[in-house]
Amino acid sequence: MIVALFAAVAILAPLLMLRPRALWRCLGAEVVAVLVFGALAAFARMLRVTVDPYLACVAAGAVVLTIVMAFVAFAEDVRWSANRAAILALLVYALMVPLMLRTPPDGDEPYYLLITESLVHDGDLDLGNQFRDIARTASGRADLVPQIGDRIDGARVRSHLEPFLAMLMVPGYAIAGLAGALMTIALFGALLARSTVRLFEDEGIADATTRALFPLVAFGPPIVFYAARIWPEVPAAFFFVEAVRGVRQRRMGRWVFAAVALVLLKLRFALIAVLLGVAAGFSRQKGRLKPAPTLIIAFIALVLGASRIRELVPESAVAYPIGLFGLALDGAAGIAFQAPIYLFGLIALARWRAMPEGFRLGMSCAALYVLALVPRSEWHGGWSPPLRYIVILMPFLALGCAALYERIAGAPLAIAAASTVALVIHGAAYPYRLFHIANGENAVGEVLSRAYHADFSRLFPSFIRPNFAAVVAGVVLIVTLIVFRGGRLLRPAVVAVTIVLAGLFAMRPGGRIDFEDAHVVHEGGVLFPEEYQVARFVFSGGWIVRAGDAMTFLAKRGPAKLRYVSDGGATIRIGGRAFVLPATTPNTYNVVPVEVDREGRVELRGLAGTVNLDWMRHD
Amino acid sequence: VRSDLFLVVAVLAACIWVARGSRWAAAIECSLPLIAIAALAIHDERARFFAIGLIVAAAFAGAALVASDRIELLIAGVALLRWLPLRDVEVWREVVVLMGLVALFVAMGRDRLKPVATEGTWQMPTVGTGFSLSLVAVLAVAAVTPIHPGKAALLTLVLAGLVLAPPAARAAAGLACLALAPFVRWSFVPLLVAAAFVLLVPFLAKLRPLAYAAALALFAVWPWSGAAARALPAVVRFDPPVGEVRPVGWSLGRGESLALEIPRSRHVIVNASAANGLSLPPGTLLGFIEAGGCAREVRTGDVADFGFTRREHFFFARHSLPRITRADIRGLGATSWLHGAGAVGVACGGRELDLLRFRGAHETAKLQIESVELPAR
Repeated sequence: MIVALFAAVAILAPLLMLRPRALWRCLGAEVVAVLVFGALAAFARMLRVTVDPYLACVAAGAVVLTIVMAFVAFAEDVRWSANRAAILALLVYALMVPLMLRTPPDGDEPYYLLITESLVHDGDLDLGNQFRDIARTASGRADLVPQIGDRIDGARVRSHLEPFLAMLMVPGYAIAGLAGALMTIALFGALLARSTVRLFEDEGIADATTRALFPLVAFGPPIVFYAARIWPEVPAAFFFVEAVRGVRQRRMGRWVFAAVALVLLKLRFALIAVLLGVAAGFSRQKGRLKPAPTLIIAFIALVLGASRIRELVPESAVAYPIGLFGLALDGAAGIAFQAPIYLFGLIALARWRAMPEGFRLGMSCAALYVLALVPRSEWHGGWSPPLRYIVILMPFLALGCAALYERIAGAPLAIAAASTVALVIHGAAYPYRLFHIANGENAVGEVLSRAYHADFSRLFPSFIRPNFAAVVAGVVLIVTLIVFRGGRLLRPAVVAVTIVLAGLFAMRPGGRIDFEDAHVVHEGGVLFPEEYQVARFVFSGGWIVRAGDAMTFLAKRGPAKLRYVSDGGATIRIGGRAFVLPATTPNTYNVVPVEVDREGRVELRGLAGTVNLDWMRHD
Repeated sequence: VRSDLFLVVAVLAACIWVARGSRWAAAIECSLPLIAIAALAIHDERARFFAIGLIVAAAFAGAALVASDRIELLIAGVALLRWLPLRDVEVWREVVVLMGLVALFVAMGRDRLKPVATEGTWQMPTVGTGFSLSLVAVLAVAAVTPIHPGKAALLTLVLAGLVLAPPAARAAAGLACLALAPFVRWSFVPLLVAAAFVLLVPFLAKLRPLAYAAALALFAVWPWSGAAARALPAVVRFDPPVGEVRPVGWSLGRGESLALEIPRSRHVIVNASAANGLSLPPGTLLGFIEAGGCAREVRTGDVADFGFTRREHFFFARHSLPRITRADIRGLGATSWLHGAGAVGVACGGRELDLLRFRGAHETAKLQIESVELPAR
């Protein structure tokens, strides 16, 4: 079915978007690509090259669709309009839905679906009977239990999630169940694509630029994933763009409606709605101020979102830069590694005064929201596909990117585009890998670490578990924001050399060993906390070692510090030396000096007692 | 291996060089980090080479879309198809081949059309009217041209001369090559097909997408260019083993025989090849496999000389690939080759077999029993 869907989109998309001359060329190129993939599949079989067939199929389909998108982006004979762009987006999102359904919905998704089911079947928001009869839920998640924060009153359960998204999905669900619910979100994705194109037009972005960026934005992460899964972010992004367009066009009906819908989707978005209201109400309209709608919106937003206001109070000064730089640079959850095209949007932020009015309005309206988000421990989105909390900003970052587009050199654009295609293929083929346990590593680092038993994860900046690479990346980002003139120095050849050098560097022992990491070879013991622990990121990760359990890892010779927690104390052996770890009070980590007697692969073995080992850092 | 890697990087550099000035250059240059990632992330050697082959082929195709009329690109393609591994390059013969290929490319110059993606534009390449087939055709000749015997290296110069003939004569020569292909010995077939392709290039406009697809797919397997050029039909004759494979490793001359006990089964597959059988014509009897009271003849065609697709031997071989092959490809680059072992089914009217007896029958050639495949249980 996946192949049939890919074929359908590969044929329909050019018919929709291209005029005859370009259409025939595009179809010809697609035929060539399909024949090449067919021949390569035969060669691969003969050469006994083992590739996951599902991955190969998705990759081939994605490459064929990339050809179509390249024609849409660069050909001269294109039928381009916002409506056609929306239909194209709907086609692709409709293809993504079954790809995302390879594994059951995860995170908050099945809960939103549960609310929808409650609305459809019972006409209420009480999930008590849904949980009692959980085997019947369309998500197939029979393991669901009420979430932390849900209101439980006897047999009645009221979800802490806002019900508006579920209400929006009711018609779709009533027609086609889970697929219908997902298609509702896909429809909002298409509407978002249309609004984004309209926004670009409103802000004076050339059609050629819009076409060039459209595929990367609409069909790149994170939007393409959130448009085919049940999260409120894509509908919210649509309402946000519409609200900003409404404010810019001084159409009160549009922006008020959109802002209210935004707040109803998630109360936290009230922080955006308030600033939108301020911007709209206190801008001059026909020569006089109109604060009334602003005050109404502000009042509603403040009442509904009172609890969120507290989040603006700083918890810790260092939390702000961690969250902020993390959103930009984190290997598992940052723009640079999960949606690199938007890095240009960040650069656009640093050229504020030269940016279109819509960009400035959108980003400034989101300022309070971002300010509230970054100090939170789950700035990275928690158990969700990457960049969850900033999906809503993506159309505006894309607008900034579009405003810079003519100044950006081909090489950085090509790198970002290639990365985008690779990320989409990875996410489409392995949708479960979009969720990460936020342990400070990322998918690429883990794969390489497992393959080489060396700490490749330390090459990727992590702000979830801050590392040295994060400091370096942060400095590089700041310098880039200041000196960026088009990125001509960022040649792919330079990137290739960097990858090779980084690979060589990663083979050497690192300065710190986190014992739960993928590069450590475990023989016994268990991960702490367990893999699917709710809000796992607030715990110090570690590996619990009992007598007889062992692990090996690359280490440097010499003195080091070991961080652990052990209720009754434990004895361990590192290399040829034994160390007694004194008992600690529960949940209080202790750091003790140890000595590593050799360079290279070292064994750590539990001799007595039980100890939760967090990390070992070389002095 | 390191010098081979440098050669691949040099080929990519040539691709980037010919595409410089166009914004496609950046996309082509992205092949460098992709190769670094493939080399780092893919552990299985074949999968790694396969991925690198695909990346380099894509970069080469990109460069060809921008500037297919550049000699640098031709030399890069020839280097990729013929000069890897570098340690096995026979320099003077390769120089002759290269000169012939350049002459052929120049002679075919009039077939080439103007490339569509001009400097500094984002114009989409076109399939069907874009880069000419000349480069593809010359690279096809490059892939199949033998250097053993040395005289064969001059074939490219002969082709260059033929290309200069009037169109009607050229078409007639091309069709003659195609017509001859089914009747000549196996090792001449790739040469004749490539020659026909070169001679018929002006008449193949309608088949361009197909030609591009075939060229790109074949070019992508440059890490096994030798095996691809000399044993391409193995793709359709390949059938993977399904049961347990037990290596045997016996060689039997005329009058020699050996027996092998096997677990009881109704049928087995014997992988066999010939030794010293290079000059045997198709259908020559090599020996027998006896089991359960039945005898199965083994002839060339069922099996082939084990090393007949080696670069040094292929031109002299008179028989073809085995009907069913397990595709044991050895080596890399231009010197890679396909082992001539063929899969021979042995059964005896549904009787259970527990003993296989192998008997050699040829005077000079030996029957080699490589392995026995038992049915999947």
